[in-house]
Amino acid sequence: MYDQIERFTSNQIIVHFIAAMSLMILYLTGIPQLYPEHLGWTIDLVGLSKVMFIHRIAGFGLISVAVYYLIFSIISTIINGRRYFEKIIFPNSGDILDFVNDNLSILGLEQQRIDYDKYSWLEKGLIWSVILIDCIIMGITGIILFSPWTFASILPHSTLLTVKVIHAGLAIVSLCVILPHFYIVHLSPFKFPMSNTMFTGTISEEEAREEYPKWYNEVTGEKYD
Amino acid sequence: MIEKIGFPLVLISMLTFVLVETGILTTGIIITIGINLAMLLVLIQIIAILYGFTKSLAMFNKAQRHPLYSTARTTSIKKED
Repeated sequence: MYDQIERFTSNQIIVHFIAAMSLMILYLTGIPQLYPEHLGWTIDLVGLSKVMFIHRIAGFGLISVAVYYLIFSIISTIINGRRYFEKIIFPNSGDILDFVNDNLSILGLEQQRIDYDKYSWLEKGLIWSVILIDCIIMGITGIILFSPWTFASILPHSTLLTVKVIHAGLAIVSLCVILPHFYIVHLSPFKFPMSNTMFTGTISEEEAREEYPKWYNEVTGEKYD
Repeated sequence: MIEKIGFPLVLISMLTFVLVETGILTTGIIITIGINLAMLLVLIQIIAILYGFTKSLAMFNKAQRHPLYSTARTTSIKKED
């Protein structure tokens, strides 16, 4: 019997910690610049130049961790093969079925059937949102906005303005993706005050059986209905 | 208490951004409260991440200082599992 089941490696825990901290600091220092009439007081507390400096340091942290994890993934794929990453990151037919079933159950049209693998469709969606929106699009637009004078000779003025709009708009989208994640792992009645799984790397047997039955069966070899 | 109002808090802050970005309501006390609420949630999240990470590091350190701890023993337990 298992009391605690290993869910995340120490590498994943550290990457999550740095990425999450960087993202939160980016929100705290970036969003007030979009809404100065509502959040101007936060900029006044520290000063705009310092806020911009912290924002850039946090951006550097997020891009660094993304590049590190990309290199790690490539090396890991070469050593362990593609199957591992295909299983944990790429959506499969089971995820699509779970997505349809969960949405139908929210509308009351079907009974919820929880049969998630190690990562549910929602968690895979969150990973892809962070990869595509936060790391790739926000990273590239952020680098351009970091030194616009360098890119001014290559890109027209209108493109630079578009980049600024994309960076600002997707920051809101990114925050609106992270807030539900915050609810699920901290504020939800089942997890309040917080879920420690992402920090200890382990999940209790009971929790794994209830939330990820398919993965639990794989790990323990027990059949659970 | 907070676990009961967690869902409305997150929903209000997200809806505020929808209202502002669609241009339905861009000014007013409701928008100010909603956006500040979102930032407050982000701030709580930072505290939670720092707390969780520090706590797990402390637990790890405590486990390693335990008189029965040894890497060979941990490896043999993992093998048995």
